[in-house]
Amino acid sequence: MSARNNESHEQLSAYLDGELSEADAAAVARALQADPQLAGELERLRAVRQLVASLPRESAPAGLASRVLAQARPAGRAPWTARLARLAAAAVVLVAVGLGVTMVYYLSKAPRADQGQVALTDAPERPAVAAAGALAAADVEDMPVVQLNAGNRVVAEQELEEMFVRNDIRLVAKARVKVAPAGPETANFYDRTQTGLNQTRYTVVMDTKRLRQIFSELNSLRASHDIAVIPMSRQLESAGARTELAMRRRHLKGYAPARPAPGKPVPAHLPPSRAPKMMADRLEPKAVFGVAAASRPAKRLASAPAAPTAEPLDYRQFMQDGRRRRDGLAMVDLNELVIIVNGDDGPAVGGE
Amino acid sequence: MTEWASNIVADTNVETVGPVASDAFEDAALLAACRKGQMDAFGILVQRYQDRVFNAILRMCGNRDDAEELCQEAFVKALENLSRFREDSRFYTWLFRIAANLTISRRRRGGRVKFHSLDGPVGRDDQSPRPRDMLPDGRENDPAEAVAQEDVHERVLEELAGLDDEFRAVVVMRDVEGMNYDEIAEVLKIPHGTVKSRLYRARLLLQERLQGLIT
Repeated sequence: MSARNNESHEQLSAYLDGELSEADAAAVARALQADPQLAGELERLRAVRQLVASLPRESAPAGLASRVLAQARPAGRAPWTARLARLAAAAVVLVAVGLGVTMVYYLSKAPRADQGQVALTDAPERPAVAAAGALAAADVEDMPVVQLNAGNRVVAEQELEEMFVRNDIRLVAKARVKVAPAGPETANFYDRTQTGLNQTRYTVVMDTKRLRQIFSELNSLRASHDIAVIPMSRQLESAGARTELAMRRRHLKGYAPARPAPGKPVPAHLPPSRAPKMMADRLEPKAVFGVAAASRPAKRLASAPAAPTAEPLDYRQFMQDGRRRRDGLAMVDLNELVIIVNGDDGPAVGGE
Repeated sequence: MTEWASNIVADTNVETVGPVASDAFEDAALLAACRKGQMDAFGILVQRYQDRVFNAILRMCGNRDDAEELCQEAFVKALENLSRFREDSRFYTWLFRIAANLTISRRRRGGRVKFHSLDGPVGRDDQSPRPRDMLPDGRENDPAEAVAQEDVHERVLEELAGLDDEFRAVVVMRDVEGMNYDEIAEVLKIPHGTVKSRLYRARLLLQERLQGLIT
């Protein structure tokens, strides 16, 4: 086909689409009347266009808008009130960090337990569990947990742990924590426990920013896994492990807040009026880790199991407001999240 | 829909400004609300355009799973980059450019477009349902006609997937999406004349490959 011929056929295609100027369209119309072969070509092009246009229109998957909003982090400028609030929050954090450093400095000079003081190594071995230690046992039953029913538990666990790594949340299982993490950079950790043949439990302690991000990522995982929020008690029933709750209660009891006995000697370098209270706060699990789960349990859910829903999971169910605490180390809101992964330990999905 | 969003829609006089201008007006109002932090305004935009974007991506990539992922990614990217949208074009055109670029980038990373037959791969021996079996029941009302029609669609989709990227993109934008040449040129960042020549060549290729279907 010559270049000129090709160009005229391009005109034919554009004529079909109504994309020619009035003059060009009139010229093509005249050529069509004079040349039956050209008219046949136009009809064939029209047929092709019709075949493509007749393809069925498919609809977007349900819940797309919710997933988009859950996943996105808008980069637009926030309203001035929000920016002001962030500045104020930053100022509070700076002051709190200063207070915390001062406290750690003074406390580090305190005598050891064998000298009449309680040692810092009394801090619990299982910080994640200790973080929830102040929850009353009755609250534990209604504590919401995220249940992830995976086709392949190993794959789901890998996805979760990669998610934690991405968000700088470290594994601390079986680690003995002797000194309390002092700020948000060091206070994010998770604990992994095999609670059954086909079940793993993650207990994650993290600041609210990470909690929000983790939920955003959990919502994006819902495309491939069945994920819901259910009460702890329901999870225990469904897993057929009723003794778990009793075990958890006993476990929590072992981490009851330890306060120095009345009448203990006061560190010589601290004013008597201040020292006992500060030591007590330091030794409470919730204070040590800056977690304030004690005063107010996380929002309770109805006892019925959560039915699968297109609505995104809401991280706010798991927020625990630490700033309402009076202890000086509660400068960051830390939140506890329990994720139960159920599923078979099968071959990798998508394997050949 | 929230009250303010309803007001935006209700305040738009479609008879006066016409449907296209009305859409643009509503988009602008929703975008302004979105920039003020009203996230549900973006939710309305997603609902407004999700089917068009999804269908176009699906026809360009040929795979529903990829299309779902790319569609979500396109909207997320649009929201995250909203401050860069200068409103010198229609929101949908800008959104579609993001979607098209993502789809083309994905294809470059992942090889050729895979066409998934409604009957599934040949020689399958598992008991999982065929894609054809998962189609809405309405398509099976007249079994003979429905099957014939699906065969035609399948053939067209197959040949569409066999086109090079630049040809498939213009065909989808014009014949599936109904964009005009200027819009296509804007999305693909190519001259108007190139749109015209690519579209003609793509149609010519399809005409040759779909001989049996064209009387």
